[in-house]
Amino acid sequence: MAYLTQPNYVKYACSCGLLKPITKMYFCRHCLKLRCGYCVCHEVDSHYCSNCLENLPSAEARLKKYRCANCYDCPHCFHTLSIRATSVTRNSEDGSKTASKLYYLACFFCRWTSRDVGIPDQASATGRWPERENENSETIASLIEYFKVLALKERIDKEKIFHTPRRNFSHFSKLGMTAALVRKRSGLPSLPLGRDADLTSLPTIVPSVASETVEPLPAEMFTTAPDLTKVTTLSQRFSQPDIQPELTSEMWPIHKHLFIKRSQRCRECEHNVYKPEYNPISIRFKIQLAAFYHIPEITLLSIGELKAGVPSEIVVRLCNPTQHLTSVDFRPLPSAMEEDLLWERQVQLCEERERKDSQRTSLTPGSLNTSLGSSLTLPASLTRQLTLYEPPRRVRLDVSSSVQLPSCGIVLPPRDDAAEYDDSAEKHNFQDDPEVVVWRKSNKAAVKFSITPDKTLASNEEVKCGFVLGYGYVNTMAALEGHKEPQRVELQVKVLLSLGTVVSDE
Amino acid sequence: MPLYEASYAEKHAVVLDLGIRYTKFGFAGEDSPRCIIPTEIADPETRQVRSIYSYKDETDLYSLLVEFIHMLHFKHLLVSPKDRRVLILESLLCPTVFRDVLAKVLFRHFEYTKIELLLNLGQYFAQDLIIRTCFVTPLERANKFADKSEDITAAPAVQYRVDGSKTITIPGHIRETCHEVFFERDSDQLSLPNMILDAIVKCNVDMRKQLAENIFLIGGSSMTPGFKYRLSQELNHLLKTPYYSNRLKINKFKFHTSRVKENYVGWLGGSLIGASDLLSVRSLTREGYLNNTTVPDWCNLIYNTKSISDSFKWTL
Repeated sequence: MAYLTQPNYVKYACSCGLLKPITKMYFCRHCLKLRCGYCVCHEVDSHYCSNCLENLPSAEARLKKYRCANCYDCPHCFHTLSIRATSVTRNSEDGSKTASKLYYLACFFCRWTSRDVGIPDQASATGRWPERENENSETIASLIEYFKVLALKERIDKEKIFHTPRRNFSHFSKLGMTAALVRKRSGLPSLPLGRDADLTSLPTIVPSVASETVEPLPAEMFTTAPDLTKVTTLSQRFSQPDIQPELTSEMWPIHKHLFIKRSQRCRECEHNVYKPEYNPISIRFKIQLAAFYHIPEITLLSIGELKAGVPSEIVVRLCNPTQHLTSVDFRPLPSAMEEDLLWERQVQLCEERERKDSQRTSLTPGSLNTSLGSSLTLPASLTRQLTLYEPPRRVRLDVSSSVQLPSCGIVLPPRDDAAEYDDSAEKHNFQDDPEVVVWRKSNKAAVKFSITPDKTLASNEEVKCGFVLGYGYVNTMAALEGHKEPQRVELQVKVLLSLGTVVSDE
Repeated sequence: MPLYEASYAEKHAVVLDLGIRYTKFGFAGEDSPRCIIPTEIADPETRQVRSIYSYKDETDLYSLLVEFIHMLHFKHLLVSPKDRRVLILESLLCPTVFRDVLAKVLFRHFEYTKIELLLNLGQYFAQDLIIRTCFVTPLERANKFADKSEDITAAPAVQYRVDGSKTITIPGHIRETCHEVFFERDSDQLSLPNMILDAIVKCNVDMRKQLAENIFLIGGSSMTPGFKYRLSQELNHLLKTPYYSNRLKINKFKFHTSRVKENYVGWLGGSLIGASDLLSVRSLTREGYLNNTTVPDWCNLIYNTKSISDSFKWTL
């Protein structure tokens, strides 16, 4: 697909109001709407290391702080480090010499090695490289404990005012989990039983002592220039946020950050539009509802000379990617006022749906959470959550030319892979208007439009034209969901074409 | 069992500190942020890298924030944002537009369940907290070794390489004076030491000594060598001026030393609070957001009158 790297001449309006090329869009087969990366819900599917391609389960990945245990990045240039071997001879106890191999890490890009910072060579290639401990982690752990108790105390003080009679009542949720169990599961400290639970004893922490004397700068700061090659850059420092080395001699190899495979889900119907296979080696998809498999694709074939106020001709190619016969037609774009109205209605619909949702959720056990206040904190995933919807944006179609659209519809035959190799031109008996359809082959047809760039356009200003493309879509999901016949629906999409700049008259 | 896994995974609240220059992002209860990255993202339309704070209007900010938080989640944190809790550290003087748009992005686009907006940047173990909205000069990278003291004579020039081929020579006086902006008085007669002293003056008499003896500097700029020394010099100098000597009866200032790097102390404060129970009590839930459609703010009188504020905390 050569057009992946090219500027986007043909853009489609997504249901969220953004304009995107067809290669960046999805088509939800359940809502029959166009979706794009912006208006789908992204979810992390699996974690893997981009170097060793090891697939880590999410719990394990979380324990390892989403970093690979075996692969390292160069702390200097962030290139992947390689393991190099050197052979050394060792004098063993009985005087004989034995050859053995030692391994170290080296960057093949910037020539940084683990020897530069004094990390000892390892005897095995997969050896455990020494790790640096954050010396503050213990202090911070004690502080976290302190704040947990402090917050708990504050909370219990408040609850005493509001829920005194209910203090010893254990709430059962719809799943039969007591509040204590839920708290334990979500990693929070358990509430002490009884109102007289002793909370006065806070864990001891060592308070920091403020000092009056502040170290002045060393005198050599004013006499010697710092050696910039020995001082780390900001990006080098921030790649290790906990240590932030200031000198290059303190830089240690960085564990390689993991990559993710993610699936994308339609926000309205919660079906997946895009789901890769879990295995990081596989590049295939379980579900891939890309728009270019479902809606007619438009490519620009030829553009006549563009002059302000002078009619010109453009030819676009339409391609039917589906297995079903379809027909397309063209309609003018709604005016700015109509567009505003359309947009306002969509926003209203969105708000209405939200209101209905909030009424519904207020009746479900999920609302127990709020009505009981904070005495019972159910994890969000166990209750039905109120969903907030993102209102769509207004489609910004700023066209700068008028277009004369063909009044007749055009029939596009289904896609037939075998026909690509069949030169014995198959004959379709379509009653095409030769003024409109200039060329036709298997599932493709070229259509001619007449456009007139606006008179007000100065030279080198861009000419854009747009129209509403209506197309027939055969909904095969309906057949799967129990309806007998695949249903045929008429859908519409707004298309914006960028035709290039106006040529001046001279 | 997916149900179990989901409830287990939920405990990690996310702590987000959107700084003017650098964003600190990580999980609550950890001792350091997962990433410190520049607060900038490629504009979704023009693909030019822009700072989040360079927004023109609400829609512009909205799309920038969506892109930025999406990048944070799927490139750096590697967890799904849906149904998570987030704790946001923000400046006391954060514009209302920014807060509202951020809440909209987090609730509507990323479907977070709860947001806690933390105003007091990390009460770590110091009493005085100084929120310094400092803008780092572009040359700061080169000048990170520059000093602060007042004698502007020596300090040799530094050759700073750009793109591998060009070299910029940074003269000694620039290396030394580029941080003067903190100490120069602006048209309101305010400099950083002035602001600290004014803040102390506005406090209760009994608290003043305590405050002056518990100064804790946070933020990346305070990591500059010599910053603390210069600040203490300036404070002591200002104390002798008639304006302050009449109002303040303090004779010494004491500074705390941070155990961790100053540039993520604020984040760490958020991490500590995020790990505690406070998050479930004091956060803004989705339902609360839907009912009010405004984000509670100290400067909004609905939320900041004494009698109401206590009862309001409860409805949140």
